[in-house]
Amino acid sequence: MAVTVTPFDAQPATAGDADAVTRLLLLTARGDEAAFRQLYDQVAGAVYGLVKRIVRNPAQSEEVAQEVLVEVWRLATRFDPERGTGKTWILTLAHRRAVDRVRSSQAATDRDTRYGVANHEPDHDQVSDEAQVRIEQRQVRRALGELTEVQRTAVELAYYKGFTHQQVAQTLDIPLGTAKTRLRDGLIHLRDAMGVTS
Amino acid sequence: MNNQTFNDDTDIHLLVAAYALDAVDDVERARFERHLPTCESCRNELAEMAATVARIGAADESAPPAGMRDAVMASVVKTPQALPRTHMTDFAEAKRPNRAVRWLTVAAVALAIGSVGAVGYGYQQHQQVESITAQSALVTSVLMAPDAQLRQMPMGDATSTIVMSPSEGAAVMVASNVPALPADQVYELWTLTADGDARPAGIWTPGTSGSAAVPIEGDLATTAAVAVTVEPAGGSAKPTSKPIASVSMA
Repeated sequence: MAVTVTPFDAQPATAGDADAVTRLLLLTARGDEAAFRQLYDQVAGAVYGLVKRIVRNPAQSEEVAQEVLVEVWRLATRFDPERGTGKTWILTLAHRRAVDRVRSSQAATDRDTRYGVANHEPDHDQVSDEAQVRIEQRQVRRALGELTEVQRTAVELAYYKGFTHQQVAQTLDIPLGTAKTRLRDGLIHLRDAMGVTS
Repeated sequence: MNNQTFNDDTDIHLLVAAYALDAVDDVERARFERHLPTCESCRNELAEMAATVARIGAADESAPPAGMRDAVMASVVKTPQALPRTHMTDFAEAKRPNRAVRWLTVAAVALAIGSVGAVGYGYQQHQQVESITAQSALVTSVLMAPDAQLRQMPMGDATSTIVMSPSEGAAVMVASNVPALPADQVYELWTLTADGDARPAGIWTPGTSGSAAVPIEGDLATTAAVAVTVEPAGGSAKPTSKPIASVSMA
């Protein structure tokens, strides 16, 4: 993610996978439906997987993931490549919506009954590169494993369960300020451990 | 609404990680998103933290259900894209209300602004309302709350209304026809205690159309009145001029 601002036009033509997402998102912002279709194929697995990890119920996860992807189309016009990659922008949106869903638990219960029969067979045409995913998972798990117990638990409660920092503080029985600091220290450590430079 | 967080203005920078992890409530989110445009170090730190959080999320990649692609494409064909935004961060996108919710919001805002007839919203008003509702999920949730209470707050030639929801524990100010200020001045909201003690409740400037929809920060339970003053850019800790508007919340 560009801390020093790089104009999109100045990026090298040999864009990697993440930059392909950014490029497709910028085309989508111009109303290019074909580009959005390609973008879907690049990110739908990541969006669905992230949402399912947090929301858990497959039918609800599908519903939220679907909403997120339509939001990506709708809000692509607001994506600013100077603030970060397309993938970060999309996954930020996905996490926000997943957490929103977990927090409105009553609404979730209602939806359970309404969407209980939704089809959630995996689509084998869109199975992403399993090996790549496993490497990512190992890296994240290892990085999380290097945190102190309080840091790790705080980050996990916030990220995977949608806890606010106040709920984190309450659950871990630590002062509010400490919870904020643990989340921050935890993320800084993860950033360094995973070599997040962009 | 959380007093402890609210009154602790010194450590808003510490919220970066919590914000990147979505570990904030709607009020804190609105507050941090107002802080972001003014703080380069928070913007830089957020960029790195958001990238880190996205990496955690990317590790859970999983094959999406069959049929989801077609469903998304079918929606996309019917969904207009948002107009590009010029003054807010891309992380600040408000929750998009569904159609029914949007129309209720139109009604609530129209009622609050008091400038739109009860029937037949013009395109322009609709656009205006859309841009207002996009400002913050908090504003939307307060305007939408079944127990929302409206209080008119006369402000010169401007029309302003305080909308408060006890169930949401939050209040917002909605205003229109607000005169623009010189670049070195801002409007500042205050919550007044029963003793007359003024507490800063947020600084704001009207949009180009002269409208504003601003969350009111602070503990509503101990708020006897809301007031607005004109302050130097950046706001003041205590009012430095006479209120241009005030209304009792009792």
